[in-house]
Amino acid sequence: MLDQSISRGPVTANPALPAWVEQLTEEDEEFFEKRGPISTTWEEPRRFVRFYHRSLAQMDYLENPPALRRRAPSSLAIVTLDLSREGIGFLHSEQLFPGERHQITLADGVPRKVEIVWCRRWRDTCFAVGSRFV
Amino acid sequence: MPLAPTTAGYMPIACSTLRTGAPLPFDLYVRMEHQQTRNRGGDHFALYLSRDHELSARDIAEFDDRSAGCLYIQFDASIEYSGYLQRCAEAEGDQNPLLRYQTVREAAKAMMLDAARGGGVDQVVRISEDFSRELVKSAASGELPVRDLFGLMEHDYYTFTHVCNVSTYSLVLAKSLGISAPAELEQIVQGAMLHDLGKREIPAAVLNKRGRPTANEWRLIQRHPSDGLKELIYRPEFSWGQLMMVYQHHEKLNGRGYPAGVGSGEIHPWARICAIADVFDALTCYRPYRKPLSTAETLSYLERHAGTTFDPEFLLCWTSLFREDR
Repeated sequence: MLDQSISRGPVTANPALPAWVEQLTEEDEEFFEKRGPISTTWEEPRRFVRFYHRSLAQMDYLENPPALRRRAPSSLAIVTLDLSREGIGFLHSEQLFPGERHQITLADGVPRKVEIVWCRRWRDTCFAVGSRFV
Repeated sequence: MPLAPTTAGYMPIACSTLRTGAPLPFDLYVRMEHQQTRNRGGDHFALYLSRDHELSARDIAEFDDRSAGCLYIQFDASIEYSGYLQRCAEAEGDQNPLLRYQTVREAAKAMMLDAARGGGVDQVVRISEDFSRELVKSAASGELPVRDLFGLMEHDYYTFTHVCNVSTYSLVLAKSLGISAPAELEQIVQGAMLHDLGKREIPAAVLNKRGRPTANEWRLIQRHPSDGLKELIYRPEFSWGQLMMVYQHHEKLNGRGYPAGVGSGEIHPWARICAIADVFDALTCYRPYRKPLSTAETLSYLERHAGTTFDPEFLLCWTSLFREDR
């Protein structure tokens, strides 16, 4: 079902999806079906409209903070949530920290450098992350 | 006594740091609290003694009576005040640890204030490094009983007072948890000194607001741990524990804190120390919208949140320090 409902983006080379992504699709069937602009509110501080963008993408760790000894591999699958002119939101199995600078490759195959702005636990299995393009 | 034109531009100093027999290198002010000034909104200050006045023992006794142990100087005089404290410390040689502690803290506060007005993060980091070294040294030279320390603290919740208080409480708690290596203690003090670094991004109008913050203001306030971490994350001189003190001091063990909402197993022990010190100081300080709680009320509040917000073992250690002291 997952293969039919979402774009695998640059992750197609690796057919094995991370367990937390499989679990996500089992828990929320509609998750990957969301499309179009995200409704906004009067108090919304963001400058640009965000669009649902539910897809697999690849994250490459570029600049790990000196004090953080990461055990994870330098390249991981992430699930994108939304996209705007300024940045991208995604789900990740590992906690990231504000100020970290890494690289995300979407379905178009173009690597984009991002800076992490916020990261919050999202269910038990992963973290929701907000980042801006740099 | 003439009223100073604005509330901005004054910092509190403890009367006990002033010495007799030498001319003051700065003007001294008192805070006015009568109805007229309250009606104008904000605090107002009046000139109490001008610079070059030679203090007598009687002057100091009068300060304590009239200003509850707290006087003010203009921000512009912070460097003169810092130099004055250093000269006093040198002149007095070996002091008792509490007096030495107070001098170290006051000097750091004056420098921190100067940095906050225009200095970059580098300056703040340098001051926090000096302060942590001196504070750990003064703690090593003798006992710093927590109740005596509490009496010395200023309780007015200016940001710079708050970070000095939180660093001191963090040091005391870390020591009583069994951390004894000076290098580690210095790191903890420095982490605590920088825990609110991200508040530099919050407008003073929001920080000092008397009423309840709006949703947007609250969002802005909640960003300060992330903003602080962003400033420091790629600096190689900081350990992970220090960075987590900055980032995780508002996290709760039940996962309902901010910014990340992580649970007990993911919160660094130093951040748990900082969380207790931070809330203890916030509640025992004077705020524009409420009176300070007593230590007994504050400890009881903390105990009610043991296990959900605060680490129960660390908290037990903190509360027992006050009980042992009684």
